Order: sequence, then C-alpha cells, then structure tokens
Amino acid sequence: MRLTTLRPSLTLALAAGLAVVVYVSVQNWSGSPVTLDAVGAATIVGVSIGSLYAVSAAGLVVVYTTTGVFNFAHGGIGVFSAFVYWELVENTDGPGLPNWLGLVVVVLLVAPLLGVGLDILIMRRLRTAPLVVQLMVTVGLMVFFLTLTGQIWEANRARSVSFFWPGEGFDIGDFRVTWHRFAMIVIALVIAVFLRMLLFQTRIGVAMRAVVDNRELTALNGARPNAVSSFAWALGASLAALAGILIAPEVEFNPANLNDIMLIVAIAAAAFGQLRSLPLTVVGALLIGLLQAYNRQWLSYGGDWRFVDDAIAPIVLFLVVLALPQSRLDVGRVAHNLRPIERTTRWWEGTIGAVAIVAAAVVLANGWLNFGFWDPGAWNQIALNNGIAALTLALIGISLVPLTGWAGQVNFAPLAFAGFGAYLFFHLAGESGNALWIPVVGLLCAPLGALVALFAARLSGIYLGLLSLAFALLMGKLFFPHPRVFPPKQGGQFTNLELFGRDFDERKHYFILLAAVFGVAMLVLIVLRRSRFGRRWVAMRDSQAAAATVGVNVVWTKIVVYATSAAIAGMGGVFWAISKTSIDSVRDFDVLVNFEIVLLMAAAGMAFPVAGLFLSFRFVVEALGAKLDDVGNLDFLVWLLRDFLANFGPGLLAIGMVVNQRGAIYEMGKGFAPLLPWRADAREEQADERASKRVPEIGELGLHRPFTSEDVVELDHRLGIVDDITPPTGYRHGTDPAEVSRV
Amino acid sequence: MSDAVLRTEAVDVRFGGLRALANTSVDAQPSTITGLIGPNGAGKTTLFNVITGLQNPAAGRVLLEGRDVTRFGVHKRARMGVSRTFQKLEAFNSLSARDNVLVAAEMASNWHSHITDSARFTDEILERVGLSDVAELTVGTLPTGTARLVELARALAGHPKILLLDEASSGLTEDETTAVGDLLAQLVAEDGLAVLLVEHDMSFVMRFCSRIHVLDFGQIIAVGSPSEIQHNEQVRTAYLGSGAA
Amino acid sequence: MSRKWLACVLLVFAITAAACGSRSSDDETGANTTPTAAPSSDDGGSTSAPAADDGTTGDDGDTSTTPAPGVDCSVPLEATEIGVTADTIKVIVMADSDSPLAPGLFQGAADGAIAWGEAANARGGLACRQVEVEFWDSKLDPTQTVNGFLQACQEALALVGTTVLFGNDTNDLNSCPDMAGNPTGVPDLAYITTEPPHQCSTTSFHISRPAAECPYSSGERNFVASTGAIQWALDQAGGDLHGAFLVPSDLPSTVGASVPQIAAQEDAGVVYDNAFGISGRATQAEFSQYMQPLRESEANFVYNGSNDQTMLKFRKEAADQGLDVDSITWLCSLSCYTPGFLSEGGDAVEGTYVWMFFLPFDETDTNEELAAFVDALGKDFPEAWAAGAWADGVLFEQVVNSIVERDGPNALTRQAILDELATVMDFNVNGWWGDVNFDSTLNITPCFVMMQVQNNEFVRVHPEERGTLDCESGNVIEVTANPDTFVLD
Repeated sequence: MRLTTLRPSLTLALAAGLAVVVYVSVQNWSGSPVTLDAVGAATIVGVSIGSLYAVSAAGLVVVYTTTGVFNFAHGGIGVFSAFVYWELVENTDGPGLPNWLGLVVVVLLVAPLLGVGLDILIMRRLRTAPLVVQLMVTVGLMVFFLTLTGQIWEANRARSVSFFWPGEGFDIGDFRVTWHRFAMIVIALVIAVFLRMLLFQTRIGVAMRAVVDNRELTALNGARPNAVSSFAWALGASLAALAGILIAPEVEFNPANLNDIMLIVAIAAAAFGQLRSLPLTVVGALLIGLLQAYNRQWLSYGGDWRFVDDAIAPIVLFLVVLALPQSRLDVGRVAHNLRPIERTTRWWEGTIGAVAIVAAAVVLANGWLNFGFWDPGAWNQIALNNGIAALTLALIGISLVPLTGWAGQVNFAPLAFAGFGAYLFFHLAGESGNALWIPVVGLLCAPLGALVALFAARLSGIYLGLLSLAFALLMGKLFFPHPRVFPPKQGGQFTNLELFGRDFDERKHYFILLAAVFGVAMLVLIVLRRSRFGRRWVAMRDSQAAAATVGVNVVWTKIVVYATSAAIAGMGGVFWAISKTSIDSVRDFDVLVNFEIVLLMAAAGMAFPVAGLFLSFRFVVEALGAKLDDVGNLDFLVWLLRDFLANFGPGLLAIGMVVNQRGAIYEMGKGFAPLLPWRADAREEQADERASKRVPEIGELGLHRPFTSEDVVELDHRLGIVDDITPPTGYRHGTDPAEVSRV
Repeated sequence: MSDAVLRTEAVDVRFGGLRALANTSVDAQPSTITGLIGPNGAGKTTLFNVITGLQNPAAGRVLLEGRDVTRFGVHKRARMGVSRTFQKLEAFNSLSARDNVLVAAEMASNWHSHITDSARFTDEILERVGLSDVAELTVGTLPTGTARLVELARALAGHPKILLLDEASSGLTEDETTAVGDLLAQLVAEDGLAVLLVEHDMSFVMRFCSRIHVLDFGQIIAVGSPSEIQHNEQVRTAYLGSGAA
Repeated sequence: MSRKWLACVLLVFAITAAACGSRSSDDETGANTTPTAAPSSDDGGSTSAPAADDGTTGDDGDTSTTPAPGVDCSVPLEATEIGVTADTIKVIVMADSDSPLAPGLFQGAADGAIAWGEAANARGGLACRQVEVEFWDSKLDPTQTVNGFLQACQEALALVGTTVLFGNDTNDLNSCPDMAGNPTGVPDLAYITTEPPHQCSTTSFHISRPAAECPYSSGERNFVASTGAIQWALDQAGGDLHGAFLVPSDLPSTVGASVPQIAAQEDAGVVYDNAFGISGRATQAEFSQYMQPLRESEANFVYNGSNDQTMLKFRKEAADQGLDVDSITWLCSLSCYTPGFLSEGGDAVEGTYVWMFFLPFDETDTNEELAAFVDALGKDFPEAWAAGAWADGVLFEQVVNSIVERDGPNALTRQAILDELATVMDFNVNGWWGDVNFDSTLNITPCFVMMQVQNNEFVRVHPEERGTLDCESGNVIEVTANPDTFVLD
C-alpha cells in the first residue's frame, strides 16, 4: 500500500478519522490496567482470532486472483462444509468419523467437488459478465448455501464442533495457549506461505493467474483454461471449507453466525491486502483481530456506542477502501444481451403501467376480481399488511434502478438510506405523520448520498461494492442502534400518515396510496431515463473514460445519481417505517436484509423501475401457497411454494442471473412486448430472431443434396483456386487437384 | 508554430521501469490534419491519453491554445475543445448510435451558445458521417467499423477545436476510409478544425495529412511533410529495422 | 449448457436437500395448519378442530363434552365473540419457527400449546365447547408477527403461548375490535416476549416477564426481580459472592433485560466486579480475555444472563485457561436448562447451578400437570418454551372457567377475559410453576428451585424435597435501573 499516493484531502480525512478514534478511546476507557500481562493476553487472543480471519480471507483473495470473481459465497461454502463435517464427525447419529478423517474428507474431497461443480455450472459463464451480475450471482449463492444448510440441519437441536486437541496447550505466563489455537496461527501462516508459493512459483499457480489476465493467450500457450479455472475453484472451496471447520469450534454453531465471521471480516482483511497481496491480507486479518482484542480489553461503551465492538471490521474496511490509490477512469466492458434496436419505455407507456398498478391495487384490495371457480375475495388485513410490506420494499428497491441499473454503481446499502429517511421523518414529523414532510426528507437525504458518492467517486468495480457494504454495516452498527436515533416508544415511533387532513389509518387506503406512489415513482424514473440524465448515467456506466472525454464530469454525475438514489430510498424509507410503526434499531438494518433487496432487484432486472414490484416475491409466494392450501389436496404445490420457493427462491433467482443477465423482466418483456399493438418494432425483432435461428432447408439454397468435401475441391479446381491447405483425405495419388494445378 | 491549437512540451510518462514517453513534444495547427505514426508500442495512445487527461505525465506540459492544461481534468479539457476516439472501441454500447452522439451534443450545447437544439445538431452530424440509417440501433450490436464511425460522430458532436483520432480507419473498408478522410478534409477546411490522428494505414496518412510526427520508443524521431517522412532514414529504420532496403 | 439444464440441476439439488431436512415427525407442510402433536392425533393437517370429534385423544373416546363443575351446558350456546362459536373456541399459538436460516426454532411452543388444547378437549373442553389451537408461524419476521396478531384479531378469541422475538408493533394487538366493534384488543397470554413494546402491550399477560413497570419509557424504570436463587447461593457462600455477570449484548432489549437483574442481585449482596457484554457471535477465544479480570479480582462467582451456549463456551474456556473452576460458583438461569447444555458441555459444565421457576421435567411423579405435559409432548426433556406455552394454556383454561362458572357459558368475550386475567393472583399452573400475579406487570414469582449439573445430569439441590419450590416472599426485590446508560465491560 503506497501511502505516498494518498491525496491531501484524503490524508486529512484519515487524520480526522484517527482523531475521532482517539477521542472515542479516551472517552470510553474502561480503566483496565495496562500491564504487560494484559497486553500479552490481549495480543495472543488477537493473534489467535486474527488467524481465523486470515485463513478465511486468504481463501477469498486466492479465489479472486485466480478466477477474477469476488466470491461472496465464500462464507456460505465454508458454512455448508462445516456442517457436513459436523454430520460426519460430531453427529452421534452419523458415521462418527475421527476428526482428522472428517477434515480430510470434507476439505480434500467434498469441498473441491463442490468447487468444480460450481465452476462448471455457474462460474464459467460469469467470466465475461458485468461485475454487478457476478456479485449478484455470488450473493445469491451465499443465500442459497446458508438456506440449504439451515434447512438440512434444523435449529431445534444443539450442535457444536469440538476442538482438535481439547483443553491441551502451553502456558505463557498466566495465559494458556491451547494447541488448537496455536495450530490456527501456524496454519494461517503456512497457508499464506503455501499459497504464495503456489501462485508464484508453480506452473499451475502461474497458469491460474494468467488465466485471469488473458484467457485466450493462456490457451494459446498450452494451458487448458477450463481445467485451470476448475482447479482454482476447487482450491477456493477447499480453503473455505478448511476455514469453516477450523472456526466452527470457537463459535455458536449456526449458519448465520458462522457466515458473519467468515465473510465480513474476511472481506475487510482482503481489502487490506488490496485483493491481491496474501501477506498483506494476513496482516490485515491479524490487525483486525488485535484491534478487536484491545478494544475488548480496554474500552467499554455506554448505550450510545454499544455496538462499536461489532463495528471494528466494517470501520477497517471503510478506511482501507478509502485509502486505496486512486484508480484511473474505467474503460468499458462489452455489454451482453443487447437488443438490436435500443428502446426505452415511453412516458405514456409508463403512465399506462402506473395506472394499471393502481387499478390492480384497487381491484385486489376490494376483491372485485372473481374467477368464478376461485373467488379470492376482498383482501383481509393480513393480505393488505403483506401488500403494504411488499410495496414499501418496492419503493426502497426502486432507488437502486438509477444507481445500479443505469449508472452501474454497485450499491449494497439501500436500507441505510431508507433508514436515514425514516430517522429524519421521525424527528421532523413523527408526531403528526404529515406527508408533506416526505419531499423534505427526500431533499435532506440527498446530501448523504452525495457524501457517499464523494467517497465512491474514485472507486470502481468491486471496491465500490465493498464501500457500499461497509457503509451499510457502519450505518447498521453505529448509527441506527444509537439510542437517540430510534428511541423505543410504546406504541411505536411512527403514527399513521396524514395527507391534506386525511388520515391513512386504514390499511386498505394506505395500500392503494402506496401503489399510487409507486406508480408515480416509476413514471418519474421512466421520464428520467429518457432525459439527458439517464443517457449520461448509462454512458458513464458503459465507458467512464469515454464519457469524461465528451465532457461529462464523472464525479459530479456520480454525486447526482447517488443523491437521487438516496432521496428516493429515503422517501421510501418513510413509507416503510410508517407501515411498521415501530423500528427495531438493530435487526431491521441487518446487512442480510440489504442483500435480499439488492438480490431480488437484480434478479428482476435492475434497469427496470417496475422491478420494484418483484420485491413482493416472498409475499406472493406465501399468499399463493396459503390460497392453494385452502383449496386443498394440492400439498406438493403448497410445499413447493411455501417451503421451497419462499426459502430458496431469492437465492435461486439470483443464481439464475447467470443466464438471465439482464433480469427476469427483460426476458418477460421480450416475450410480452410483441403482444402490445403499438410495438411493431418488437414483433419485427422477434421475427428477425426466429429467422436467424432457423436452419435453411437444402432446397432453399438451390441444392438437391448437401455439399461434400469432394464437391468443394472440385469447385476450387473449377474456379482455379489453389492453396496450400492439404485437401481432405480420400484422394488417390495423382488425382489430387492441388497437385495437378500447382505450378 | 505560434498559434498551435495543441502543443505538448517535453512530456515524460513512466510505467514502472518502462519509459513510455520521453521528452515528447508535438503540436497540431488549426485547419491542419497532422499525423502521428510509429511502430506498435511506440507510445501513441499514451500520448493521446496524456493530451486528453486520462494519464498524468511525470514531467512536461500540455498546452491548449497556449493555455497550460496539464492540471486540468478530462472533462474540463473536453469543454475546452479536445475530442478523441479510442483505439480499443469505447462506444456507449447500450445506447443507440443517436444517443451516443446526443450525450456529447448535450454537453456541447452547454458550452457553445450557437448550438441551441442538440437533437437537431445530433441528426446533422449523423447525416454527415453517414449513420442516419443506423441511428436507432444499439451500438453494441453494430459491426466494429460502424461503431467506430459512431465514435467519430460522437467526437465531432463536442464541436471540438482539436480532434484526436486513434486508428479511426481500423475496421473500415477502403471506401469508408476514403469517406472519412474526405469528411475530415471538409471539416478542416470549413471550421478550422485541427486533427491529430494515429494511423497504421500509410496510404491514408500520406494522402490526407499535411504534417506528420513519428514516434518510436516514446521519442519523436522525425517531423515533417509526408514526402519528407517517406524519405527519412531514421523512420525507415524504425519501421523496417536496420539493414532494410 | 442450456439454461433449462442449469435450472433443473439447481432445482433438483435444492429440492432434495430441503426434503431431506431432518424434520420432526409432527411437522406439516402448511405453516398455518394445526400440526399433529407427536403421539396421538391422526388429523392430517387441516385447519379444523383437532382430534376430539374423531375420538382419537382421550381415553374415553367420548365425544360429548363433559361440563366443567358448576357450568350448565344445557343452555343453548351462542357465538359470543370472535373465535367463539356454538361448539368451538379458537385460540392461536404464535411462535417463531420456520425462518429460512433457522427453521424449527420455537416449534416446541406450538407443540406445547397444541398438546394442551388436546388435553383440555379430553377433559371435556372449555365453556362447553371444544378448543381449537391454530399455529401461526411468525418466522422471525416482524411482518409475519403482525400478521399473526391480525389473524388472531380476525379469527381467534385469544393468543395463547406467544413466543416471538419480533413483537415490536403491537398496535393491532391492542386495538383490535371485538365482535361488538369495541377496540378491546386481543388477549395475549405470552411466554417469550423480548421487546419492550410487546412486554408493555396493554393486552399481554406474561407468566415470566417483563417484571417492569409499564407503559414503557426510556431511562430509569422500576423493576422487580426474583433473587431467591441468588440469596440461597449467597448463603451457601457465606455471604461472599463477587465476580462477573455475563450480559447478552446483541440487542438493546437483551442488555435491558440484564440490567435490572444486576441491580437486584447487587442489592441482595452480590458484588459484580465486571459485567461482560457478550455477543451471540463471540468466539470462545474472546472469553480468554475475561479470565484475567476474574483471576485478578479472585472472583468466586459467575452469573450467566445469556443463553446456554454462552455459559458453555465460557466454562470451557475457563477450564482451558486453567482457571480454578471449582472455586467458582457458576450460576445460570433457566436458559441453561437444556439437554444441549449437558450433551455439548460434558465435563466442562459439571457443577453449574441452574435455577428455574417451575418443577424440573423429571419430577412428573410429584405433579399431575407436569406429568400430563411431559406425557403429551412425548419427550423426556421438552423445551422450556413448550412448557411455557402449556402453562399459558392452563392459565387460559383457568380464566375461562372462572368466567363461565360465574356468568355462564355465553359470557365469553375478549373484554371479559382481559378483565378476568387482570384479577388472577397466585397462578401456579396447578402447582407446577411458581406463583405469579397478573394485576400488574410489576410482578414476578418469588419461587425457585435450584438444580445443579452432577454427573452430566440436572439434580435438584434446593429445596430438597421433590415437587416443591422455595417461595419465600423475601425472594422478590424491587429495584430502579436505567438500562440505557449502563456501561458494559
């Protein structure tokens, strides 16, 4: 990390950050004595835990440098492997293998197979995909693996993984270092050294790095890129499994917990190593472990900063990402799945859509739809509650459309902005619930977006995603849990919305209002896309460098789009908070909730405002399941909907982005658009596509039988075409036309 | 040499140990098509990057109409009249050809009061470059040659004072290349546009450029008219190696 | 490889895995249906009343309802309230069970409530009607929790055995209109309610918490705490207990639950040198940092306010670090009373004291209610929340019986239940649990029984006589505390 490349303003910011840290430390000194013993104990703990982080982080970095994919599912693979290990070794009803054997089986057999399987099925197609798609697919895989693990090994029984050498160790002063922890430290170092040697000094390692750089060239040099990639993924999965199994004895053994430790801190450490330097990654991991240990030893917090303990890794991540050397303006990446005729939605089409949404809401809520054989009836309070929850999420999710869908800025923190909006509204209008404050909230949220944009302006690609992740974590751990942000109130912090004297205390009215708000938001975005802003944002996404050279101020444009997104999310957050009435200051802002919103939006199609409706996925599936349950005798379908899709749906859909890179709505739109009477262009396009896929009949070409190679040679001869290419075999000596006609 | 639209003075660029540009000074005059040629890896695109601001030089200056713009950002130089195309195609692939040009035209209409209707300005440029037929098509689906023309049109939409073309003829047929050359000649004559182009197509260079700079291993080894360059010993050696005829 | 192939592979993989999930035998495919409790009913998962009409549970197989003493069931029965028809009373048990990442969490609560319902029906039902217990899965989701309140509002007389962690929004619960249209709210007989809004909900009645004054306000509040166990421990230690309190630090509400405990125990005479804030995500390695302060202060006491896993890991690490674990009194609350604590803890948890406010599950010979519960659940060691849900059922039964004995079987309304609940004093689940009063939220049972882990089993230590609880009134202490400003170590 070259500090000399830091810009002056950034140095100032970091110095200010450091000052804050020092201030907080002084304020919150616990009074614990600073003895040599205490320092030693804290250091040992820090190094032990840091080694855990290092093993996981090393795996993450290795996968990134050898495959080019930032694998959010790293933790998920590790968790799944750890549970398989538990099944083999610890489960009293299971085979009960000795722990070393279980380790070997999982790390050297199960995990590599899993990795290779992932490569063949999924990762290979991600190579040329846009970064957003890559990230979404791996996040989807993470959710998939966590859900899978949770579903197979249910939560209603206690599980734990035992240490390898329980209880035994050696003493340093008063402090005992167990063999398991010592082994962790050694393993971390060994792995780092081994991997470095592997990557730089062996053929396969060099091949792995080369394949990422330039696949075609590597192939031309004799390596088999597919085999190399598979090996890289096998290695990555093995490392994840190893980390998971080694970490498991230390923690409460459940999927979410294990994933948290394996992933978040690993990301921070990997960022410290700039996603490519293994030694620095290990240093980063140890540093975080030490900071946590020292923090635990000597600092204690009152209610205001109670969750700082958890926030250390996100803080490190945030600072590291900021301190990176500034990158040049990104050059473009070839987009996929482009339609030949570029067509953005017209404003009147948007109007029709918005009206249709509101109409649908009214009809559904009132139960006017009657299929004869199936009368859904008017929506009861539960259905309305679900509908409201879905629409408020849609309003938040739609904020990602301009930011990620159009401008290509990966953002994992929609709820952070939404929560900020809710916070502002609570303190400005919590008592009255007056809707006229909502636009004000939107305007006030914009600067927060602009601030994030300033940090993000110099970043691109994966670092941008990591910054937004850090931002989401920081807001979730430091800001929202602060007692003065959402102080608990009997009856909730938020009252009903009031608009022009009318109180929206009935769910039905609120639901219809939300549908109207969504329709308006959708329309506004559609208009925005067709304006110079939309064009500029897409241009910036396609090629930042080119955009700058035509005069687009990239930094300013990013600020504008972030501000817009923050404003939309903030306003959505107000509606969201009002529907909940009471905000859970910690759990409502968990990073996994952010992930789910982003996942569903991406799977639906981040570039389409209507994708917001897709956030109702879980609710729709659940409601359908409930309805079918009432009908009776459809148990498999009910199970499919309620237990399978409701749990696995989001993850699978995101993984499905591997083939549906532009989202489900794009695919559906392609099929649906030709049906609309005014979309002659879509029908034309469809006809073209069909024609190009059709293999022409022999007769259509004017032939009565297929060409053979003899025909080709004969034709060449007649045309006087001579070349050095050896004709196909089958010629008797002397009749070779090439021989005959050679001078 | 005095009122050059663009001049670089003693530009130095290093990538690690490699010195990509050494003491490079070029200039481009108004109403002139200037060529920049040299073997592969000579540093031509790097020089373009320095001029447009995508690359910071370790030493040296870039002057636009006499003004030192070395510290200025990319978009600011664009506003001052620098436009370019890219060697490796950098079109806005998800947008239509028209929108590609429109983005640039909208920026230009902010700077130049005489461009009042950016939409019409865009159509005019598309017409001029011969892209009206493909205006609504997504650039990412167009053949490379046509996409390069879109880049050219986009560069022109900035109403530049100096146009930097990086291998504009690559992927174009002979006829298309000639058409581009003619278009450039027209623009140069009409608007006083200065053009600096990087090319490998020697016939194009010799035909359309009135002045040529030759770059080899990051250094300018020759400057002159086409015929002077054609007979320059150093240039021959650089291209063909020593001992060539 | 085409997209169809990819989709198929993933689908098959996930379906197989999901279907192979080790589901307990009494699970059904629909979350909103009445799952069959382990031993008896062959009811195949429909939403209608369980069992009794089919004559499956109950030894007599008699489908007629035997009237409760003092109730005249010959009177024509009416539908007097939402959830009450001429022949059924519907209640809902809401519990966080099948979240995607942690399925099966509080399934036991549903099992307990449903088992109680079947037992009640076998006894002849309530108010001359059969009881139908419907399970609503709140899935660790705030929206689903509110939906549960709404479902109860629409269809049930009351909520029985509520075991939820996300009860932040209780507006619907508290203002639900009854059959007459008055916003009486839904009676909520709850067991686990961790969030202050739920704890102070005006229609919620808790058998173990909140033990705090309501309505909720931040800052200083008045609490009551049951310190009998602590006082006994102090007596055993000659009045000298000093050491550490393990505080679960993940949520403001979990910290807030510990703060009054600490204050009360200190009032009782314990000295807490440290209150360690421990996250559920803590690694065991972190605990080693807490050993030094224990050593330095020569602590002889560690109290666990968190879950069993925390105590387990803390003890394991203490043993690994060579702490003189035998010189320390390890005391844990009910949260350690789990089979997992024993099986995962092994030798490391030997000697741990666990105190609780109901009779241990192995003393079925001393109490009929306990025996019926353990028998109905069909497990040797049911979960505490199954017991809680059953206990709530018994409370409900008692309240309903009081009303109908006084005013007849057509007197059942939500308001009547709420009114009656507020008068219940000394409720002890027919002798199985400690006495508790419901006239205010500032109540807690003074009763406790002290167990100890001996030879990897929970063994009664005090009071010595089986089937009894120590219920001295002096066990309860009033304290004032401010959870918001409490500083964790």
